[in-house]
Amino acid sequence: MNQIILMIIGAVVFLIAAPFLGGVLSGIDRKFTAKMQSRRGPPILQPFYDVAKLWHKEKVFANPVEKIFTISYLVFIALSGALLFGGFNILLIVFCLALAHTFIILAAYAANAPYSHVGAERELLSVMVAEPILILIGAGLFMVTGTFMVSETFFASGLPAVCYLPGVFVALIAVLTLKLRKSPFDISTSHHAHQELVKGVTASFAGKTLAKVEIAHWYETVIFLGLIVLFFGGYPVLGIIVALAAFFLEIVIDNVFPRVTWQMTVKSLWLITLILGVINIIVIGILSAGGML
Amino acid sequence: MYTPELLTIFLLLLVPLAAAVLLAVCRPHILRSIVVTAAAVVLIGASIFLAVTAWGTGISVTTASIPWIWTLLFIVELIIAAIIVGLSIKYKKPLALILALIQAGLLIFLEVSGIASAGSEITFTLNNLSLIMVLIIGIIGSLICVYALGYMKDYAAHNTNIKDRRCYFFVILFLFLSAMFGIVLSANLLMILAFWEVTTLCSFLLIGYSRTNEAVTNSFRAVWMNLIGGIAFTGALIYLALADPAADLLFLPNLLSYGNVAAITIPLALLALAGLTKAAQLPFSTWLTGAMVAPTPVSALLHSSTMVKAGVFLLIILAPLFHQTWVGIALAFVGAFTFLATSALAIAQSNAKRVLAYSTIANLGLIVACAGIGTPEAITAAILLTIFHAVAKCLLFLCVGAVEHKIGSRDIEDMDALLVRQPLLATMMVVGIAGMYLAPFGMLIAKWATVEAFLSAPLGFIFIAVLAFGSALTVFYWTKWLGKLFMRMAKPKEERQRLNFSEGFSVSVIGILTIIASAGFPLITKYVIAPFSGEAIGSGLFAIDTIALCGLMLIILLLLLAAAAAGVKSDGRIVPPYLNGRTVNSEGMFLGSLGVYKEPKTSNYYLDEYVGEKKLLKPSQIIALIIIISMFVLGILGVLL
Amino acid sequence: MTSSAKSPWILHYNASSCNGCDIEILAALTPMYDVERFGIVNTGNPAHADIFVVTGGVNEQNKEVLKNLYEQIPAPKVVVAVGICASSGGVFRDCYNVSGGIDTVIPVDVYVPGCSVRPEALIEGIVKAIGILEEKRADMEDKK
Repeated sequence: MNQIILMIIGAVVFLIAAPFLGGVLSGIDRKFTAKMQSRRGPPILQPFYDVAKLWHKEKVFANPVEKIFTISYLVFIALSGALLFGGFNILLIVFCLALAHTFIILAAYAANAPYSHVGAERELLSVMVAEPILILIGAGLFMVTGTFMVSETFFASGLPAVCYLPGVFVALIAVLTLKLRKSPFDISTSHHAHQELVKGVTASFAGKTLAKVEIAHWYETVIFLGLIVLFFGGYPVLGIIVALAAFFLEIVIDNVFPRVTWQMTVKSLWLITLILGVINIIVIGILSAGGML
Repeated sequence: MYTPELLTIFLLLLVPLAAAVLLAVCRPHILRSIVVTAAAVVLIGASIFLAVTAWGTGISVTTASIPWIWTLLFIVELIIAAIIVGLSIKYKKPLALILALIQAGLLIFLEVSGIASAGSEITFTLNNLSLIMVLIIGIIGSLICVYALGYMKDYAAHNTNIKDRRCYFFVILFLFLSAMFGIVLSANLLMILAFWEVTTLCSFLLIGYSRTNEAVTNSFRAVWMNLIGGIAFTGALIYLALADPAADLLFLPNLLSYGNVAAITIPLALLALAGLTKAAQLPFSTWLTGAMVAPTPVSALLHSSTMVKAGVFLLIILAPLFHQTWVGIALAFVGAFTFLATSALAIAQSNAKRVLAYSTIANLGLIVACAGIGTPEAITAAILLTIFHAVAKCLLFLCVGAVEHKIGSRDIEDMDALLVRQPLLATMMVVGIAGMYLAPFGMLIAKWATVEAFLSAPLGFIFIAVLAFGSALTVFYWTKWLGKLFMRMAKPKEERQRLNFSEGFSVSVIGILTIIASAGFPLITKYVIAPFSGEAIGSGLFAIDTIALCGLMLIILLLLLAAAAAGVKSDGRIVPPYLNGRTVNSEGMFLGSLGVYKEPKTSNYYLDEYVGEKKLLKPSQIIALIIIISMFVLGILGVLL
Repeated sequence: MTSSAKSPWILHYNASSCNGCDIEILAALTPMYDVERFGIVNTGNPAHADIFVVTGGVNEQNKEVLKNLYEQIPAPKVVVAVGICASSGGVFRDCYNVSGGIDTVIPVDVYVPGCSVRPEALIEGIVKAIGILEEKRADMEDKK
C-alpha cells in the first residue's frame, strides 16, 4: 500500500513541478545561448512570460479540431511523465509518448496549410527516429534489472544501469538533440533564430493552442532528463548531475551545429542507434545468456 | 455419437457449401441478398455457439465414421489440380503448369502408395486457438460477405468494362469460407492439406476475377507461389508418413507430442515453407501485393483476415515443435526480417490497398517470428497479433473499398479531409488505423506482448532490435495516412454519396468489434489465450496496474473524442491557412501573382529514394531466400546430427 | 508591466521597401543591440505575432498580402510603420503604383521615420508599440 501512495505522490509531484522546472530550463537555455553569442539574452523567466501572453491572446484557429488535438497532446505528454515519475511500466510510457506525439502531428495536419503539413511530416520523422532507442531503453533496462517497472529500476542496488548500457545511453544523448527540439534547424521549433519553416509543426497554432504546446514541451524536457536519471538507478544525485550536464551539452551542440538538416539527422541518429544501441543490447544478451550477468 | 459440437462443426462446413450451391442458381440481387444474409446469420450464430460450448475444454476430439471421406478429399484435390492445369494451358503459363503437375504427382503418390493410412474416421480439434479462428472466420468472414453484397453492386456499376460475374464471385467466396473452417478445425494434416489447396484455388480464381491482363498475371503469380507451398506441404506429409509409420504423425496431436523432434526437422522446415508462402512472407510477398487487383472484399477476407492467417495458424500450431529446433530460429528470422523490410516498403506506397498489403505482410512476419520462437509467451503474443490484426485490417480494407467507390480513388493523397467528405467511413478508418498501431488499441497491445515475449526468449535480443526499428517505420506510414483524414477542407470535392446499407452496417459492426476487442484484451488473454499457450500471465503487460492504466488511457481518449464530437464548434475566429499572406478563397485556392487562383499542393513524404520498391524489394527477397535456404540446411543438419 | 509587454513577438514584412530598413531591423537582433533581452522574437509567422513591423510604401501587388497578414495576427496587435516610406510613402509617394504609406491599407499605431531607420529609433518605436499593446490588451480584458 505504501508503495502505491509513493507512486501517486511521484506522479502528482511531476504534474505540478515539471512545468516550472521545464520552463526554467528553457529560460536558462535561451540565456546560455545568448551568452555564447555574446548577447545579454532574455530573463530566465522569459518562457513563462511568453506562455502567459499567449494565454491571453485572441482565439484564432486554422481548424477548430486543433484545439482538441493540442489538449490531447498536452494530456498524454503529462500522463507519460506522471507514469515515469510514478515509476510505472517503461514500455507503457514509451507508447504513451508516441500517442501524444501523434496528436500534435494530427493537429498540424488538420490545418491543411503547406507549412503545417511539411512541419507535420518532419515532426513525424523525428518521432520515427526516436522510437527505436526508446524501445531499446525499455528492453535494455529489462535485461539488466529484470523489470519493466521504473520504480524498481530506480531503486535498484548494485552498479547503475549505465555501466551495462553505455551504448544505449550514448544513443539516448544523441537523440536528445532532436527531442529537445533544438536540431536540426528544419524541424526545430525552438525560439532561436536558426529555425526554418515558420516553426514547422506549430506554424498554424496561435494563442492558447501554442501555449499548450509550449507547456507540453516543458513536460517533455523533464521526461527526457528523467530517462537519463533512470540510467543511474540507485545513484539519483549523480543521475541528476549527469542529466543537467547532458542538457548543457545539447545547448553547446545546438550552437556549434546550427545547420544540420533532417536528412543528416535521420541517417546519423539511426546509425548511432544501430551501432551503439543495438550492439550494446546484443552484447548484454550474449553475456546474460552465458550467465555472466 | 453426434454431440452438439460435432453437429455445429458440420453446420459450419456445410452451410457455406449449401449457400454456394444456392448462390450458383440465384441470379436476382434480392434473392442473393437473402441467401447471403441468411448464411451469414447461421454462420455467426454457429461459430459463437461452438466457441461457447467448446471453450475451455482444451483439446477435445470428436470423431465420426465416414468411410468415403478420404476418397472424396483426394478427388477434390485432383479436381483443383485439373482446374489449375487447364487454366495454365489456356493462358500459357508454364511455371504454374509444371508446379501443378508436380503437386498432382505427389498427391497421387501419397494416395496410391497407401502410406497415409488414416482410417475411416474424421477428427476435429477444438482448442482455444481453433475456436478463435472459427470466430474470426465466422463473424468477420460473414460480415465481409454481407458487405460484398453492396460492394459488388457498386463494383459492377463502376467497372462496366468488366463482365458482371457476381454469382461466380459469391459461390467462390462461400466455398472459401467452408475450406477455411476445414483448415482450422481438422486434426489431420491430410485434411488440412485438402482444404489448404481449396483456399489456394479460391484465391487464384478471385484474384483473376476481372480477367484483365494484370489480374491474370497476378493470379498466376499467386498460384505458382502457393503451389510451391502446396508441394512443400505434400512433401512434408510424405516424409512424416514414411519417417515413423507406427506413430501416425499425420494426426496432429500425435505430431505435437512426438518425442524425437530431431528426426522430423526436414518436414518441419517444409511445413514452415508452406506456411511462409501462404502468409506471403518474403521472398513470396509479391503475390499478396499483386492480389490487390481483386475486388476489395476478397482482399479483406482472403488476403488479410483469414486465408493468409491459415499460413500463420499452421505455424502457431507447430510452434511447440519449432521451439525445440534451429529450424524454428531460422523461421523466426524470416518473419522478423519480413516485418522490418515490408514495414519500410509500406512507407513508399501511396496506394491505400498496397499500404494495407505490405502492412499485412509485416504483421504476419511478426506472427511468424513469434511462432518460430515458440515459447508460451511468444505463442500468446502471436495469437493476440492474429486476433487484433484480423479485426482492424479487415475494417481498413472494407473502408478503403467503400471509399474508393465514393471518391473514385484508392490513393491516400486523395483522402484529404475524408472526415468531412465521408464521416462514417473515415471515422471507422480512424478506428482501424488507431487499432493498428496506437496505444492502447489492439495491435499495440499485441506488439507489447511481443516485446515481452522476445525478451524472455533465447536470442530474443536480436528480435527486439528488429522490432524496435520496424515499429518506428510502422508509426511513420500509419500516422501520415491518419493525418490526411483530419485535414480541413473548405468545400468537399464531390457531392456526398449515400453509403450502401450492407457496407455501412458491416463496417460499423467491425469497427465496434475493434474497440471491444481492444478493451477486452486482458480477458481474452487470461481466459482464452493463456490456457492454450500455457503462459502464466500476471506480470509486465498483464500486470493489473498496467491493464488499469491502459484502460485509463482508453477512457481519456474516449472522453477527448466525445469532447471533439460535442465542442469543436469553436468560439474563436477561423483564419485561412497561412500562405505567406496570399489571398485564399473559399475553396482553399490562393491568388497567384498573375491574378489567377491556384491550388496549393503539398504531399506526404514517401522517401522513395530510401525505401522504394525499386531500391529495397530485390535485396530483401535475396536476403529472405538465403535465410530460408539456411533453414533447410539447419533442418537437414538436425536430422543428420 | 504584464506578460504581453514582456514578450512582444514581431512579424516583419517588407511591403516593397528598398531593403535598407530591413537590414536595420535584422541588425537590431545582433549582439550589438540584442532585442531578445526584451523578450522580442522575430517569428516570421502571423499566427504567433503581436507586433507587425512593416517597411516600404506598399504597392498594388502587395496591398492584399499586407491586409491578409494583418488579419491573421490574433488580437491584441500593434502595427509599426518602419522608415519614411512605410510612414508616408517617402520619395515614392506619388508613384503610379504606390499607395503611399501603409496606413492607407491597415491602421498604424507607431510611425518610426528615417531613411533608413536607425536601430536605436527602431527599438524606441517598438518600446512605444509595447505600451500600446499593453493598452489594447487592457481594453480587451475590460470588454470581457
